[in-house]
Amino acid sequence: MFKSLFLTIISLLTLVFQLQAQEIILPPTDTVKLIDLLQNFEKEKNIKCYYKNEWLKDLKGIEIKVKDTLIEEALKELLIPSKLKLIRYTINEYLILPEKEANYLISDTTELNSFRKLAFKKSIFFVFKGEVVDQSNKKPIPGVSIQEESKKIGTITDSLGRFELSMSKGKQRILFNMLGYKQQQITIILDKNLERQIMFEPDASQLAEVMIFGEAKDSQLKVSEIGMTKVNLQSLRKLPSFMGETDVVKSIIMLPGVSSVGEGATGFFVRGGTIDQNLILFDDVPIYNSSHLFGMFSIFHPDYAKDFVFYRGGIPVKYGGRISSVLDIKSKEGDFEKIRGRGGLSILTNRFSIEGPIVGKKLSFNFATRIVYTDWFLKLSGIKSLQNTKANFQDFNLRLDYKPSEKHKISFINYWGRDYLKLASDSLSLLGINGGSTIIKYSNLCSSLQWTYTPSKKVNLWNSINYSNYKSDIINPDFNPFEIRTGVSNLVQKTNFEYLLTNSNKFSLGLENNFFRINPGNLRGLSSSNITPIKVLPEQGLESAFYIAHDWQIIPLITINYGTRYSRFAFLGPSERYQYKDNLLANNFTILDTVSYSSNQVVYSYGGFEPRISLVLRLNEKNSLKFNYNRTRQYIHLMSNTTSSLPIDRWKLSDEFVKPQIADQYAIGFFRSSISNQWVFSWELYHRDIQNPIDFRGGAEVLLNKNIETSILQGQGKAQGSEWMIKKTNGKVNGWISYAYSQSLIKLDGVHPDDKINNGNWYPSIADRPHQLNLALSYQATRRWNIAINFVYNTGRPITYPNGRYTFNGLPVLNYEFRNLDRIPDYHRLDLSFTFEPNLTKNKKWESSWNFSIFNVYGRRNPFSVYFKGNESSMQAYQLSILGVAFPSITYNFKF
Amino acid sequence: MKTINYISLFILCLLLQTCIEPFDPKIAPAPQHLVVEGLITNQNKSHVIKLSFLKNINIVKAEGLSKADVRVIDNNGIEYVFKEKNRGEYHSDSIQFLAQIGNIYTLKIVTKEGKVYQSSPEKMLPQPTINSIYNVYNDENSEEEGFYIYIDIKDNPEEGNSYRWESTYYSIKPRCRELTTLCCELCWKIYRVPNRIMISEDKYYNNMNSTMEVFRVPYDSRSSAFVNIEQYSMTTSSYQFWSQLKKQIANVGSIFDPIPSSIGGNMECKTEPNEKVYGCFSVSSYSLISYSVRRDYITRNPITENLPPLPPGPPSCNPCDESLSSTKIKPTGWKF
Repeated sequence: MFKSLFLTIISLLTLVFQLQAQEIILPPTDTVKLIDLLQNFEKEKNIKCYYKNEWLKDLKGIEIKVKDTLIEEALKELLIPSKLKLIRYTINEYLILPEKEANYLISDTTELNSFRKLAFKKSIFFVFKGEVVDQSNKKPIPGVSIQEESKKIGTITDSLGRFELSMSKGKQRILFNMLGYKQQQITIILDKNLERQIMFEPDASQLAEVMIFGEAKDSQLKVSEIGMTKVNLQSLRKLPSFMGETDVVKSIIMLPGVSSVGEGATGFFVRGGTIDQNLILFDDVPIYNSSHLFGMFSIFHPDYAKDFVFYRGGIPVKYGGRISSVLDIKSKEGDFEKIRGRGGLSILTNRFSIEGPIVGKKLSFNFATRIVYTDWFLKLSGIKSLQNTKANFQDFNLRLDYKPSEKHKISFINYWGRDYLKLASDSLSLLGINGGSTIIKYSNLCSSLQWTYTPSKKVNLWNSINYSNYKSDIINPDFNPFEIRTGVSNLVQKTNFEYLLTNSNKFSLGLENNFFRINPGNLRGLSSSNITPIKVLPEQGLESAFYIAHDWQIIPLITINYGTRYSRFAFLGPSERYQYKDNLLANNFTILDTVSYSSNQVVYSYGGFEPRISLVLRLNEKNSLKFNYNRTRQYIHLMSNTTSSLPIDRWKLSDEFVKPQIADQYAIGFFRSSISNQWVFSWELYHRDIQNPIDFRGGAEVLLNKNIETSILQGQGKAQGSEWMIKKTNGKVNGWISYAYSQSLIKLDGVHPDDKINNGNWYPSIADRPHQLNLALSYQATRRWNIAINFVYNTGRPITYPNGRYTFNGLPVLNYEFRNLDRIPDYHRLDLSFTFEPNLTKNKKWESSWNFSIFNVYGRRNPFSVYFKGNESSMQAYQLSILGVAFPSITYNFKF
Repeated sequence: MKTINYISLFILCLLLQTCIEPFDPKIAPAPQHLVVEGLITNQNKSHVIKLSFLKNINIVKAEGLSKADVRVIDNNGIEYVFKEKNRGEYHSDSIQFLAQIGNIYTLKIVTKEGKVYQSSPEKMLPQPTINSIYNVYNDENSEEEGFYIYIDIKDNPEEGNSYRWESTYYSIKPRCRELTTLCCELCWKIYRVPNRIMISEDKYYNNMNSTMEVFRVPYDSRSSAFVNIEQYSMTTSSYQFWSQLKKQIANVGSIFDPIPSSIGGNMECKTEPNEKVYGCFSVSSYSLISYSVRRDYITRNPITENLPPLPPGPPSCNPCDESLSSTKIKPTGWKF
């Protein structure tokens, strides 16, 4: 085949030559050196020849007749005694090579097409860069793995689908990989900096290879962030899921170092941090409650969210405000070419999304909605106590993207979702108000306006204004009806500037301003109620941050990323501040006075640097070592002394009493990948010191407490752990197994006896889960059937058991003296899912699949909590488990 | 329908309502900590201070603290000694000691080993004005069915007032000891809901006319129900103790529950400040409200005990037992 191609090319070339044929006379002498002849020839005919001097310097010129001869013929004739070969490369460029090398080149036709100044000079590096776009809609694809064939060098595309690789000159074969797309291989001849656009063809069947957690292959070795995971949501489709809904938060919990609070609870713990220490960004809007129906679902629509990056260490400077982790979720921009839709139907959930162009190919939309409506179901149940129970939610997503030119992009992204729950029982007795049924409503409103300006491939300027508003309502509709409202709103301005100085030097700097307004809670009576309204004064604050970072590949084997963030927080008026006697906060009897602050007056402020550094040493093509140090600061805290976060939880800004939480994390990681990249092994060790972690005094009241500072204790915290993970990224069977051993401790040792917990000794924090084992496996049984399993094992969470009891006024009273020293039984669960794709034809108009999932296959009753109840004579412990039965579901998914 | 029920069971779990089962955790033995239970009121009677030690959670009988010097000191410095009658139970002399509204009292305990325990000073706060008392029948769901008694009170303007109600419902017992024997004398059945603590909160109801639910009379008969409502005023520290106790009792292990903790009282050990002392010394003004509930207007039949027919022959009778659930002493205010 090569031969025939070669012949074709030769004949084509000959054709060109003939058109150019004209008379040239060379000096008829045999004293002239070949090299001089060539140089003359080049000058006269305005052609260029490439060769190494040493090949020609000893050769003599021969006399040839060039009249009526083609240039090529003449040159060939000239070269006859030299045994060098001539290759015509372009119309006026020629290569002169020893025979061996020439044959090698000729055999690969691609090289002939792009061959330039074949550098027979010194070996140097050139830059190969470009962008990867989806062939069907021309949208850039982030997260594509790019590797040189020998796998010594590689990268992944950034959020704009761009990549850049530095490689030695010469022929390079490069592989492009991405889940859901066909693998591409290109060969380039690198003799100068090169730029390419790579068209990626979607893999219609997506069956050949399902990569769970579609992290770009081998990216662990290349990216300088430690403890970072990038996931494309498509890759999660076939994992077992609760009621068939692919869920961002539930998938995060499968990673080492992340554990769930429990079934039916909001949030997750990362490396021993509490749930409010996780920054959750949905298109750069901070999210204050990421769950629907108490954590059964997360608010991220599985067809609308595109991918997410999760940092549990090595947090880049552009993120700030929370100390444990960052979960950065991005939605999908609408298709600019054609209308597409997706949806899913299951017993209780319905979801739908549609995207497409609006005007020309410059404006696109993506709309997604989800409705979960259980009323009919609960009514049907025939259980009386459930008939008054309701549990519904809806959410709506809409984003618009406008690309007036290559350089500008404007996005307008919105989310609104709400939950409505009605519990028949008296869930509010803890508030000291006696009520019958309870209605819980909460909603998230998020909006973001973003402008990306890319004047050149080297410069990227990104601006956004984001708004997040979380509101919750608890209503007691019965006798003495009342309502308690809490909420938090957050207005964020962000500017991020990136400059690519060279391919191995990137600078980024930016500015971020967060304006917070918190409604800590107010109670008002409804209609006939004669309850005195209570209004805890709203809190306001401004967090401003500036950051700068430098990404630097010092030599190909060493990459460093260092930078710092400086954040400053001010608690702003209007406010009424309490002053306590001797700063004794143990109770509100020590209040001396209140001081008023006017609107926007600074009540108290904090500030400090947050240095961060990551270093990657590539030991060889298989192994690499990573080091990281991070400092993070947090000025907004969730006030929760319940087991899990409630929709009515209260947020609190740092003020003169509540100090910011500061974490310093040190981590070291070892990564090894097999040559074929099928297997990746990682091992990370970390230690984290936390200043001012928050815990509560015994019996603390949080909601509607005007002196919340009297309930809070701050001390010292530390967390440390070791995380192992083995991952197989492709093949019929793929997945991973991970194990983490960790510890999370807290110490509250104040001066006053009331400021001590457990006598001022270290004790396990609520997020302490020493052993954690996760297994996720996917098996492509046939082209149509995929089977996936999840297995999770966690040590039970710390709990406080009573250490004795007494009787008071005839009532049995339990005494819980030491906090968190006992544990509830261990948590484990197995999930199964089967995905069936009935139609595998390519380019079909309607694609569909069925997903059958069983959540908690063996019906493990994982205790959510343990409590004690009894009377004067006997006391019994009970465990409460949520979802303590196998929970099957069936979902029909479609796409057009 | 069966499958639907099966599925709804999941939803039941999903809605955090069920899947509760007994469990036996390992629990360390209880440390020796003092527990104080004391209440003095403006009633003309002997008041009791009970001193005991914390006990293991599965032990019934508490060990009392014996031979301690127990006294209450008022704001004029007058000390009233409480004498030990039963082990760990110290009684006041009802003639010598009569507490008064507006006075401040402090409890002081000295053990025979010389340890000193003391309460914070507690003021006896006055009773609120009761505007009205009424009841509402609620049959919304069977478990909570009954006659809800509400009290409308005019709160005192002073901050830090809270109230606690202890209600007792009396009805005449048809049978004594066994269901097949009559009572030889008039015998009253005592019905309390000990696990339901009824407290008002000043922070919600300060200086206003407010309505408080104080009791629920079950619909177990068509005849009028007689209820004695005891109303206690509470100081802030006493209120904090009771509200924490109420929270603990309401704790059902749900996600709504606060992390449990020991209930802090108003006692401290003066000689060893780090030693924990539990319980509470309360000082309350007291009033008794007798109230009867008409129940004959409800069309539905009451949920009554199924009394077996008396055995043939001359009826035998049993005496009325004095216990927490029955008494032959005519309740105060009984008028039927």
